[in-house]
Amino acid sequence: MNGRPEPQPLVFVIDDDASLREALSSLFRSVGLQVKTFASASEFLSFKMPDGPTCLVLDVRLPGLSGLDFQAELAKAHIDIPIVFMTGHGDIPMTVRAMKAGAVEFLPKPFRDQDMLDAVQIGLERDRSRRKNADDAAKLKAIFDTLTSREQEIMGLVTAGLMNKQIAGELGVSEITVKVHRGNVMRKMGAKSLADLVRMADALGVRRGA
Amino acid sequence: MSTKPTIKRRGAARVRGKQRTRRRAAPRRREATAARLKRELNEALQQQAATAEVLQIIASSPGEPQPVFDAILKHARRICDAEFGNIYRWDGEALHIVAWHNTPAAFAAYRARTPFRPGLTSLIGRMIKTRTVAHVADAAVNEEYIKRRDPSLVAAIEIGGVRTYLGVPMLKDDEVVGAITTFRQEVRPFTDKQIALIADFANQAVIAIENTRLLNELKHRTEELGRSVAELQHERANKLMNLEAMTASISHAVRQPLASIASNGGAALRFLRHAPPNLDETRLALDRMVSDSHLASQVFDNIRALFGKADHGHESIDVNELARGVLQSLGQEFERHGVATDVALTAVLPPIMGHKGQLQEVLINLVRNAIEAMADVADDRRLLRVSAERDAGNQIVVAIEDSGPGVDPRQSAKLFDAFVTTKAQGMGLGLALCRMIVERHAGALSIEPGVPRGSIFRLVLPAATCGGT
Repeated sequence: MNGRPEPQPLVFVIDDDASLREALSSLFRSVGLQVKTFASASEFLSFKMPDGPTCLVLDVRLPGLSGLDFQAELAKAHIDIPIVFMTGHGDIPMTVRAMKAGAVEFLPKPFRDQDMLDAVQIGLERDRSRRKNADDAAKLKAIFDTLTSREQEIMGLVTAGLMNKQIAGELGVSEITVKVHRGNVMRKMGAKSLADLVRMADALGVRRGA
Repeated sequence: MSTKPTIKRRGAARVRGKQRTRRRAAPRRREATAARLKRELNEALQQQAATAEVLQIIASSPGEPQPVFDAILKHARRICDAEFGNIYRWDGEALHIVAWHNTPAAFAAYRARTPFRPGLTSLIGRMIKTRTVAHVADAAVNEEYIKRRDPSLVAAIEIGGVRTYLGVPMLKDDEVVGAITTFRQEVRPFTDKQIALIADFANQAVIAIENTRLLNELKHRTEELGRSVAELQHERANKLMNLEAMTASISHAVRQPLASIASNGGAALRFLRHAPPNLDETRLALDRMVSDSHLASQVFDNIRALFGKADHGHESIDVNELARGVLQSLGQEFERHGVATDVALTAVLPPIMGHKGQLQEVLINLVRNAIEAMADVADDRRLLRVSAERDAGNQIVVAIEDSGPGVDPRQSAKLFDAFVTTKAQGMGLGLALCRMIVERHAGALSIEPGVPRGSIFRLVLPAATCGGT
């Protein structure tokens, strides 16, 4: 948005079979993706998450715990990462459970290389948009924080649908003062219209009585 | 029953004869005859009613002869005008009292303590031997009592106050199955008709006993049949399950290298399309494809080695050596997973006969399972205990105990059904396959909870008998 280069996407692979780890690593590198492989879930957890879109390729059966349990554990720890599952069993109930829990794809081994690459691209795209949403929200919050407390108050009342007169009455100030503050809020927030401001107030959760 | 018409005919003929010769005395005689006939008719009706009732009880209680015995004694005593009566059953060695009616308690207790045994020296003993009725008009003057002091007769007289005594054997196919005895405490012999009636009752008692026996046998056979059908079904299900487990295990083992091959192939093609083509990466990917192909074909070699010539590969195996070898080969895995080991082998164990490769795979799988089970346990608490010993039944018992969280006892039976394959290197057999292999060695594989936590897998194999090939 502001021209800052996007951090490199990174693909994680967890599988206890070394030869499959290498093969997948090579496949992802062949299309220019960066890859980090792990033999176990605990190895993955001790790795520091980078700043950039990521996607996790995971076998449903890991040494010590199932991929599905690991998926649930990540969700509990609020680690929001798209997961592509692989399985050597073609277990349908497992597939259903994984997909319901938000998995990007469930690929039975042996899978087509293109299917794996497509699934990972979808996962990275999903993470990209999640990151962007989170980013936008953070930016909006930063601008909102530059408003004076009176301006923040007026933003909440304006976006709740109150007229200048009502706001003046409620705050015990003149209508002119409200108008000035309101103009400042619109300018600082970069809102093009009242509707735009309402959307921002919603995202920030500051709309009075909403 | 059969004697009745004869008596009637004889009586009638006599009446006619006497009418001709002595006309004057006729009315009084006719009256007497009529009264006698009436009495006889009453007796016959009574007998018939009693017989019918006993038959009815036989029909309504097919699995239980006791009510039949009780009814027989009740009627026999009343109709035959006896003081009391007993019924005995033959168990192959002696007659045991099973029912009594109005019998003095002390006498019944004596009979219960002292069963009759066959022999020619006692009255009942002789009855059992000869299968004939024993009828003693006055027991007190009987020489068995006076001279031989037949203990059963002594008891009857001195405890039961018996004078007249009747014993009728219960016969089936000319074999004694029991006896009915009836007693009078005064000297008054039983009539032929009364003896015939008791014989009828004896036959009815035999029918009741036979009915019960047949019914119980039928029940027993039906249960047995049901059991063997269930066993067959279980066996069949087991076989199918083993096949399924084996297929799943093979398919899993092959899918892994195939997935690698496909991925490496895709990578190689893409590296070739780079500008300029990335030949180094392409070569590496192709190299990996070649070794993955070997890995895939190795899976089949392993399977053939394991199951192909299952019974040919039997050899004498030292379980200690086998366990030591397996633990040594997995040494790196213990290190990697931070697992401490505690090995307690018994110095001298008899060898077992078996397929070394198969049993090795079983042990490897059990140990790997144990390592996996401890993945979530704190590092310093991961302990694997392996022991081998000989039990009282000349069986070798190998126990593999982990300090993991343990298995829910309700789940532990299912553990062997669900073919949870352990992957990584090697065959990665499931527990179902492990159990199949062990059972093919006439052994058993079971799981039980460890103390204070964890699981113990117990592998029991019969020791080889001397002179094994």
